[in-house]
Amino acid sequence: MFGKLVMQVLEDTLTADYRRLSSQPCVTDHPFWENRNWWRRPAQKREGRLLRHWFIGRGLRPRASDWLRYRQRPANAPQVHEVIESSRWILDLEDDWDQQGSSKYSESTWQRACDFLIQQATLARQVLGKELPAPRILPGPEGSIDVHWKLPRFEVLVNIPNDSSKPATFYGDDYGDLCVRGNLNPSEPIPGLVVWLLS
Amino acid sequence: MWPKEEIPDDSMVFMFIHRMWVRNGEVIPGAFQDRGGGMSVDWDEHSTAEETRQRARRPPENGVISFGVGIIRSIQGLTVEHDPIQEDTHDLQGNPIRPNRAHSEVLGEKNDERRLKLSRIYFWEIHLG
Repeated sequence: MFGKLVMQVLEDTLTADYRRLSSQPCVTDHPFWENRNWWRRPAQKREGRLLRHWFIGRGLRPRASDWLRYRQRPANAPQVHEVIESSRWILDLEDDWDQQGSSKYSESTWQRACDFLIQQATLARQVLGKELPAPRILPGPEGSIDVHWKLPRFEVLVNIPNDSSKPATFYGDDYGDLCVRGNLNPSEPIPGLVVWLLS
Repeated sequence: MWPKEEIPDDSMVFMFIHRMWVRNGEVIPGAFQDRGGGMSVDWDEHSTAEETRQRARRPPENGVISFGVGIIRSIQGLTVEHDPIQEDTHDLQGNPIRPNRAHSEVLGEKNDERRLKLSRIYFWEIHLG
């Protein structure tokens, strides 16, 4: 009962923030999207308080084992699993695979892209009770990997760099004035992204 | 020696695309990247789409897309400049490069935003076989 209540509060808060976000003509490097201190927004800092219900407690955070559990229930989460499986061809590419000198892709980069997707899918399921729309996992420039959502109302491109010490970058827009861009940590769930994708 | 010319906004530029950068008939955003300082294209003033395709290492494995120069320039941070490749030009390894009067560069970092926007504004000139 308590867990349900917490999830409802979280969902309401995330939805409210999405509405606030969407009311702005163009959002650049909005802290809402950054999972580093994503729960501590500037207005709240000024007021010297934190919205505690923004924090997803450890018990609610997705873990790798959650994904394994979902895999045993393919009817519940078929899309992301299929996206990941169908992207393995990227690992078969050799150096100069496009005859223009592009390098091959490392398994660790691909794995980080998959982990990123799993984190978002698990958050969508656990907190919002919804399935994440299926993106495409695609080869990117210079050994990086793109995670690309192309949906009727908006498009988001997340780039996972080959160098694991660098942050992932993202850009998304609604094919119009509303846009978001910035950096993110691909090993953590990004509530703003998930809410946007589910909206 | 070919002079460097000003490319008007109402021109088109061609770009060959290897089949591996195409998924479900669409060029994926990763195809739009800098190689050696910029993204190479051919100005339609001095090249046809087929001539652009013939400049690929294995032409049958490539298609050709086009962009409106003015539309590229409307993407913040991107410019298009004529950069003809003269005779007796060599790459950094000392290999000769084929002369190309139409050669031009789309300059400006190809970040996520620009790659995504480029993936929305191209037209197919020669589809993949």
